[in-house]
Amino acid sequence: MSELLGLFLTFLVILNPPGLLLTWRSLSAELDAARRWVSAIGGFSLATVGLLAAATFGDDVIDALDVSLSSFQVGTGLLLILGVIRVFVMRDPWVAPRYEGGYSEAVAGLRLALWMATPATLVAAAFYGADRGALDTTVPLLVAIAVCGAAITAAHQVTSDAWLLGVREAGRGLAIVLIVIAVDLIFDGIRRV
Amino acid sequence: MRLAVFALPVAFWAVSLVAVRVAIVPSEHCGELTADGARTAAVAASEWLIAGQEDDGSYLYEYADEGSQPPDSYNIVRHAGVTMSLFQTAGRLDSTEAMTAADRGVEWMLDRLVPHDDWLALSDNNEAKLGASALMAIALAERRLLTGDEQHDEVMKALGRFMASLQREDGGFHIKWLLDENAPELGTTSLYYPGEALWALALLHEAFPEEGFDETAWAAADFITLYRDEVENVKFPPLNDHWGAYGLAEMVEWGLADHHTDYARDLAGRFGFLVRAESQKEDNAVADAMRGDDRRAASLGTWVEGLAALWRLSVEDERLGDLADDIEERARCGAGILTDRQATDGEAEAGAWFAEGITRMDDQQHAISGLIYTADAIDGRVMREPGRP
Repeated sequence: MSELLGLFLTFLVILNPPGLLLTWRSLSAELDAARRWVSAIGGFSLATVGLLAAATFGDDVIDALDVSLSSFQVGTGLLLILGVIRVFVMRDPWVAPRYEGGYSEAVAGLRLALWMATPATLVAAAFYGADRGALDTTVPLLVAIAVCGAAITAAHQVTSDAWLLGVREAGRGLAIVLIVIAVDLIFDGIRRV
Repeated sequence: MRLAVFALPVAFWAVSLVAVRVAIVPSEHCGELTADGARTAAVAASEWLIAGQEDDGSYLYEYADEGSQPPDSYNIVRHAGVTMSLFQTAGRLDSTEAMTAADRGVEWMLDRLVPHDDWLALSDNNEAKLGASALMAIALAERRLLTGDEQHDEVMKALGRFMASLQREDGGFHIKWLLDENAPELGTTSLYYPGEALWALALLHEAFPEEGFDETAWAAADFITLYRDEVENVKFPPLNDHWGAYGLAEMVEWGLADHHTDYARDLAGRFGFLVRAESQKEDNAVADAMRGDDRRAASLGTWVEGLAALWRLSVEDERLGDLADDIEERARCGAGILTDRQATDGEAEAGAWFAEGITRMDDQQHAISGLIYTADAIDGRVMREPGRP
C-alpha cells in the first residue's frame, strides 16, 4: 500500500465518516434543508481549515511545545484513544445532546466543526504533517475530508432504521480500527529514536 | 443545558490535554551543546579522574561532597573501564596527562593478571570476571590504536583467549572463572559482560586478524541480538546495552546480518526513549513524583555512548541510514543534559557528576566516552579511532 493511500485510510478512520453522518443528522434535525446547507458548509469549512492548518504547521506546533516528534506521537495516540472511548461506552455515541437555545445554523455549524476537528483529530493532523511532511499529509487529508463531506451530504438521505443501524455499527468498526492505530502509534513512538 | 452542550466537551478536552501534556509529553530540555563544549566537559571529567589517582595507579572510587560518607570499596571492572576512557581522552582530545594516568592504570592491571594454560585474566581476588578482562583488553586496544605500541600484544591475545574459553555454545558467556576451583562458574549470567566481551573480541580481531577472534565475536553478536534478552528475562527489551552497540559498530565493516541491524534499530529506539524521558525531568515536585530523580551519569552516559556508537553504525550501514540524523540529535540531547549537570564549582568536585551527593569513578568514565563520541557525531567524524579523519 502506498504511503499516501495508507495515510488517506488512516485519516478516514480518524474522522469516521459514518459517525459524522449520524452526528450531522442529529445536529441538523430541526433545521430546514436550506439552513442545513448553510450550516453544513460553514461548519465543514471551519473544520477543514483547522485540520489543514494543523497538518501544515505540525512542525511549528511541536517546536512550540518543546517536545520531540516521538513524544508527540505517543501523546497523539493517547488523545485519539481518549477521543474515541465514548463510542464504546454510549449506546448512541453519535447522537448529539440537544441544544436548548434554539437551532440556529450557526450553532449547528459550530458544533459540526467541533465534532470533526476535535483536539485529537487536530493533534493527529499535526503529527502526520510533521512526520510525513505538510504536502504529503494535506493531500490524503483533503481526500478524507471530501469523503466526510459526502457523508454529511447524505446524512438526511438515509432514512431506514436498518441502514442507520448499519451506519452506526460501521462507525463503531472504524472506532475499533482507530484504537488499533492509536495503540500502534503509542508503541511506535516509544520505540522510535 | 445550553451551556453544557459546549462546556462538557471543552472541559473533557481541557483535562485530557493537560493530563497528556503533564504526564506524557512535558517539554524536553536538552541544553545547548556544541562539539567543543562536549570535549571541554570530557577533559574536565578526565582531570577529575587524574587528580584522584593514587600512586599505585588505582583511581578514587567514590567521592562524597559535604555531609555524606562514601563506602570504602573498589571495583576492578570499573578500574578497567576508567582506564579505557582515559585512553580515549588521550587519543581523541590529545591529553598527555590522560595518557600518563591511563598507563599507570594499565600497570595496576598488569600486576593483577592471573595466568592459566594459554590465557591471562584480570583478577584481584579468587575469581576472574569476564567483564574485567574484556574492559582491560579494550583499554589496551585503545592504547594500541593510539600509540601503535605493540608491547602489550601478547597480553591482549591472552585476554582474548580467556574470553573465548568462557564462551558457551549459544554464544553467551560464563561470567567468571573460579580460581580456587579451576573452573568456570556455571549457571550464572550477566547483563552487560557479553556486550563488553563482544566489543573486546571485535577490537582484538581487528588488531590480530590471524587469531580467529572474529568467530567468537560473531557468536557473541548472535547471542546478544537474538537470545540475550530472553536469557536475561529483560522486562522491556532490548536491554540498553551500550557495549553491544560499540561491538556492532566495530563490526560494521565485516558485514552485519539483518538480525544484527534489526537489533541495532530497536536498541537505538530504546536509548532514544531513555534519553527523552531524562530530558523531560524538571526540578519541581510534580515532575519528581511523575518521573523520579535524575539518573546518575553512569547511566545517562551509557545511553549517550550507545547512541553515539549506533550513530556510527547508522552512517556506515545503509539499512540504518534513515536513523542517522535522529540518533545524532538524541545523542546530542543526552550529552547536553550531561554537560548541564556537570559540577563546575569546588576544587574537589569540578568536572564530576554527583547523584545524591556522591560521585563514582564510572560516572566520569561513561560521561567522558559519551561526550567524546557525541562530539564526533556532531562533527560528522565517523571513525572512532584516534588520529584518522
